[in-house]
This record gives sequence, C-alpha cells and structure tokens, in this order.
Amino acid sequence: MMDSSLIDQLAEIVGQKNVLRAPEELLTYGYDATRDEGRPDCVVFPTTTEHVSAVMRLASEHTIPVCARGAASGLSGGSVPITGGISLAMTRMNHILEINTDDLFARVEPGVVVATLIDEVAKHGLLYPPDPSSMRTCTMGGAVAENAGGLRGLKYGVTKDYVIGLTAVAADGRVFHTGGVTMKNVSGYDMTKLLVGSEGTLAVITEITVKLIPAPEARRSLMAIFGDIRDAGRTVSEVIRSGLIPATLEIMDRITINAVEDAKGIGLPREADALLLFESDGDPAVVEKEAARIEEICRANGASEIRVAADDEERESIYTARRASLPSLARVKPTCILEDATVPRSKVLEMLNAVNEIAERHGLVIGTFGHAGDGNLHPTIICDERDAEEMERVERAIDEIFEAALRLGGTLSGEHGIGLAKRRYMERQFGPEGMAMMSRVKAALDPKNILNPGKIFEVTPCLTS
Amino acid sequence: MFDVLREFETDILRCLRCAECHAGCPVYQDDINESYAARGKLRLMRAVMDGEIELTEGVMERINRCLNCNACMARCPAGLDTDMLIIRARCEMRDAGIPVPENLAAVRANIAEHRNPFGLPFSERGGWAPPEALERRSDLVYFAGCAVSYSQNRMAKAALRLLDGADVEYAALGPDERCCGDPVRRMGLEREAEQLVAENREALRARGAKTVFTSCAGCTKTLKSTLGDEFEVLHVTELLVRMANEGRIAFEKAFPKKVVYVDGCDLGRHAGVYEAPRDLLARLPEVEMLEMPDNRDKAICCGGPFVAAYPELAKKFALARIETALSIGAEVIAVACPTCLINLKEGAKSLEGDRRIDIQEVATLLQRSAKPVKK
Repeated sequence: MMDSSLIDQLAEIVGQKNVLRAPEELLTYGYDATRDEGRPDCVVFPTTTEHVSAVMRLASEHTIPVCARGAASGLSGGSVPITGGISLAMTRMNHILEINTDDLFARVEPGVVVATLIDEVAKHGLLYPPDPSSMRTCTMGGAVAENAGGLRGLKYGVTKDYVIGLTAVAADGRVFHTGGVTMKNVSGYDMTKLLVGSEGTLAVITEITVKLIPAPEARRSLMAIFGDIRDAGRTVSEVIRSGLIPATLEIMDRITINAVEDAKGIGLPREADALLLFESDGDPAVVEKEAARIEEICRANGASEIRVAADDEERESIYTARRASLPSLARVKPTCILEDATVPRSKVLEMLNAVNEIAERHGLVIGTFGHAGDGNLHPTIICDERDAEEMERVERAIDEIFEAALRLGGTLSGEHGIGLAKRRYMERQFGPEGMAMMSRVKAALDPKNILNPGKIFEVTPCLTS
Repeated sequence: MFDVLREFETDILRCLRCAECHAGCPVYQDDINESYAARGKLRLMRAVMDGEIELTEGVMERINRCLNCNACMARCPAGLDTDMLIIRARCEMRDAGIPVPENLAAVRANIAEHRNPFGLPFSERGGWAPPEALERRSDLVYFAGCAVSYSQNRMAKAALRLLDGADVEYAALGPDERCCGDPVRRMGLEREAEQLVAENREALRARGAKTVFTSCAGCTKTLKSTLGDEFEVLHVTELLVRMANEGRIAFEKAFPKKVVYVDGCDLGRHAGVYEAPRDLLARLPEVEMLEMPDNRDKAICCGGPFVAAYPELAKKFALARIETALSIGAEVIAVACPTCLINLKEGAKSLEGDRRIDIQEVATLLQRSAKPVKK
C-alpha cells in the first residue's frame, strides 16, 4: 500500500482533481477487457509530459509501481495494475497537436481516441490506417503500447508501421525523444520500434508522431459464402499467392455465422461452413480489377454464393456481419474469451482445424473469426466463469491453442499484446535465451522494475539473468 | 444491498468490459472518469451486490449521475440494458429508505401533490387547448405532457393547429392529465410511477381514447411502454407523417435553411422514433437537411434529463451538442422533445454573434409552413 503522504505529493504535481483515491474509483481502475483484475493505490491523470516526468521521479525514488493506462479496452491485461501502486491514466492528455498536410504526419497526445484521429485526418483527405475494432474508444497511447492492429492490417500494416516518433518518460523521470517527423530515419537504434508494443514496461509515452497516407479513392467489398471451410482456406491462400493485396480479408466460421444470425437476423446462410469478406481499395480502375479477380478465385474454389456490395449501404451490411461477430458470440454465454494467436497465412486452414479439434476434445464452444488474410485469427471461447470445471477445460484449451499456433510457426499474439494473459507462454515462443535478451533490455531501462511490473515477463527481469 | 440485481447477475457478467460505452456517454466524457462510465457503474453495482464494497455516498452518486439516455446500450456489443439496471438499483436504494437526491426532492413532492413536476395547479393544464377539445370524447386523444402543458405550450398549440387545419377531431385531456410517471420512475419510485400510469389510463378510458398522441418525447416513451397494451400511442410527428401521407397536410412556405434534426434519447433510442421528424422536415420546401455525426441510435444526449439534478452539467452537455451542430454548418436545430428544447435553448444562451443558432421544435416549425388540406 502506498503511503497517503505520497499520494498527497502526487496531487501536488498534477492537481487534486487529477488524482483519484476513493475506493469506488480505485475499483474501476483495476480492469481491462480481460478477466484479470488488480487494484491501484491511486489513479493519477497527468496532463503534461512534465507531470509524467515528476510522477516518475517520485515513483522511482520510492519504488512505486506505475501502470500506464488508456481506455483500458485491452485484451491482454496490459493496463491491469496487478501490483497496486499508481494507475497512470493518460486519458486527459487527449489533444491532437498537429496535422501536417505538407509532410503527412500527425502529432498527438496519448489520450486521443483512435477514431478521433482517423476522423480528423479524413477531413484533409488523409488516412491513418490502423483501425482496431475498439477504435471508437481505445486511445492512441494504448494502441501504440500494445501495437494494435485492425481490419485493414493485411494491406496497410499495424500501428508500428505508422509510428515514426515518440516523446517518452523513462522510469527515472528523464524525458527523451525517439525518431522524428521524416519518412526515412536510420539514426541510431530504432527506439521508436522498441517502445511500440512494449506495453508500458520500458517508458511512459507522452507524445506520438504518426505518418499519414492519402485516403484511397475507391473501395469495393464482397462476401463469399462457402459450404466447406476448407474451400475458404484454399481461397485465402490463393488470393495471397496470386499477388493480390485486399485491404481486408476476414473469415467467419459456422459457429460465428450462426451466432450473428441468432443475434441480428441479417440473412446470413446458416448452412454455410464459412464466410470470407474482402475489401479492395485504391485507384478505381485497380479496385475494379482486383475485385473481379478475387471473385474469380472465390468461384474457382467453390464459393456457393458471392455478394458484391453495390453501394455504401450494401457495404455496410456486409461489414455488419463481421462487426457483429464478437458481440453475437458474447450473447451466447456470460463469459467470452477472445484469443489472437496468429499463424503464417498459408496455415490458416490448419489453425482453424486445430481450434475445432481442441473445442471438440474439451467439449467447448469456440467460434472463430478474424483476419484470415494476415493469419490473425480470433478463436473465441464462450463459457461461464462461474462454472469452475468448465473454466479448467477452457484453460487447457487456451494452452493447446497457443501450442498449435507455435507449432505452425506462428506467434502468441498478432495484435492484442502479451500482458498477463500470455506471459506464461512467452518462453515457449522465444526460449530462455530469447527471454534473457528481452529481460536485459527491460532491466537496463527500468532497473527498479517499476514500469508495469508483471507484464510480458512471468519472472521478474534482472541484469543477472 | 442490490440483491435485486441478483436476478440480472448473468447480464452483469456479460459485460465484456470492452469500453465501447465510453464513446456515447456525456457523463463519462465530461471528465473522463471510468467510475462514471457504464462499465464502471456495472462493476460498482456488482461489487456492492457481492459485498466487496459498501454502498458508499460515492457509489450512490454514480448511480444517480446517469442520464438514462441509453447511449451505452446502443453501443454495447453484449446489448446490456444498463439503463434498466441503474433504475433497479435506484429502486432498491429507495426501498432501503435512502431519499432521492436533494435537488430532486421538490420534483418528487410536486408530482405527489400536484401530479406535475412544477407544482402548478391542475386548472392551468389545458389553457392553450380549444375548449371543446377539453370536453369531448374522441378516438384520438392529445396527451400534452407536463413540460408542454405548463412551459412549452407553443408546441401544443402548433400541433393542434395542424390538426385543426386538416379538420381532424380530437380530445385533449387538459386538467385530467397527470405526469406520465417517467421522472419518478427514473428516481427509482416505481410504485409512484405505476399510480400515475393507472390514473392516466382511467382518464384516457373516460375519453374513449383508442389512439393517444403526445408532443412530449418522454411521455411517448412512457406511454408506449406502459399503456401501449390498451391504446395506440403516437408521438405527434408520427401522427403528422400519417396525415401528410394521406394528403391531409402539405407544406407550401419555403424554409431555405440548413436544418439538423437532433435526436432526443427518449423519442429515439427509447421509443424507436427516428424517421418521422426527419420525414416531416424534409417536406419543407427548399430546406437543406443535415445530420449530426452521431445520429439516430448513436445520438448523444443533450443533457436534458439533468436539468433539475445537475443543471450545470445539463447546460455544458447542451453547449457541446450545439457546437457540433455549428461545426457541420447548421442554421437551425430542430428537436421533437420539450426537454431537449428547453435545455438546448439554455445551453445556447452563452453563444454570441454568428455562433448564435435557431433552436426550434418540429411541429412549431412545420406549422408556419403548413397548408392544411381540408377533406
């Protein structure tokens, strides 16, 4: 427990109204979108980089854990303050500082909501591509810390592909800058890339510079329906192999399709084994050509039906199906656990089969949807957290899902981060030496282990490892 | 405490904690404090239910500080009815003898004694209505609502003139009308609300009502859900669309303005009426209709439900909505709810110069342009 005089000192730094310490407030700063929960000793809302620096100096001096937090919509426990201490809520640092239409970049504070940036740059005919499903609520800081992805990842990449510069505060309070505003920049170590996805374990990010691209002129969406998921898997492989790069290539399995139909009744074919959703964007002529080629490949691989969106309204209805996937699965049972194991794109079908076998073996319902085009699937286990016996089976199934992903040459997380949820599998992916190297980085930048302790690493990193 | 919520435990557990509810909640957005978001409130209710924390003043303040605008539910992937859960929690607080918040005590007392939130006499309730309408029986009965009856009776006059012009016969409840019960229901006083519903049911039966129409969005919500089993309940805009479609009303005077219809939460999300006001406004010659960036089921509350409980917040939220309307180039904000009208006008008071904006109720706007088509 933190001494209350320390909390008073924090209030002196950021102002009384920017510190929360009432039990009912602390309770609501203990969770994210996973089932893990902690309880901070206080919540601090910095509004400037100087605030963050002063907070970190105090935290460092007294060895107080600091867990930075955005909207806490994360899916790996990254912002859950499991060791108490300070929940550093960055949400009141929420200004867009600059949108530069000459050099095509934007500078933002970490509390800016991702969709707010996307909407603002769109007014200038520009695009900030990473679009996590939570973009209407998640913050830029959180998206950078977890290296969030999104539906457009296949063509446009993920958050790390757009962050070109950062201002950050080190564990001891020192303020430093990484990268810059240039498109090319190879001066020194790429500290920007190191911090992106570091989940608040290496520094606290207080300003983010992202590059922007011109918004695509045209787009075309289509939905292909398959009676056999194997045909859908083959279609994904062939689309990728034939050199096409749609912006979006999503898959939904039979369980997901039926859950969406139960919840929304939007006319999806219940007998279908899988759906693929494609979107091509760019120059109108290119989009036309790409969409036609995708349609051809779908037909050649046994799609039983293809629905092409003729206008924005039809496009919206195609997307409703995909967006409704998680919500609809969530309505089936009280608890819903979403994973994001990712495999090489050619292994999507094998991964889908592995998930189905695991579900069957453990008598669980697992609906799978996700970004088939980049191998990032979201097997979603629907269960009831009050049923201890079922939850044991769920844990075993999760273990096996990760095993399967790694066996297929994949990774634990495509876009949600490691946090608490996946830290115990890290050594399986990287081996002891791989973990030791990461530990050294952590220990060098945060020797007192006060920055988001307990995340990514199961064992406290130290220099002697 | 909050044992009543046990019944909804499975619902509460279904909260994915995804934070989608943050986006549409003016209370959360006000100072970005998680404990005021639906997700936070659900966590607090669960904590009280499980005995993890006491029902502190702080928890009660969070249960009270909810607009019941249902924006969270519209965005909730799991479709959680946080609005209902909040009201249940308030009911249990009342059952436990915890009084209604201080600034709502007068509203409650006025409704109990005078059957309206303002404490004004019954006799003043229908002064604006044609006397014969107050006397007669009719299939079609007008239910003005308290705010329209006592403070925004221009809304009533405009609506009834449109009907008069088309020779539509109707009765008006006038002094026989009671508060619909919504304000006390939102305070967690379910029995008091039910009593008012029963009184209104009797009054409507006595007039021979088959269809009830009202100018008030809150009353539309409440009457549809409490009396919809016996009467057809329409918001006045739904009735006017019907008349316009039948060719009984037309609009001839041009209204060459940029108009944005701002959805009220009671009429929209709660009562499901989104298109009728838009349909009518679009019939005005030369009008240019705009849309708020967040509209229909994603519309953001103007703060109206806080007029009595948190007047400063109500004003602040109203100003934010007006700023959005200005940013899209609107010259006129049209609303179909007396509370939105009152609150947005209050919020607009601080605006000066070219940032001033005209705020109008739909029927009032239409009436100026209407050309009645008598049968």
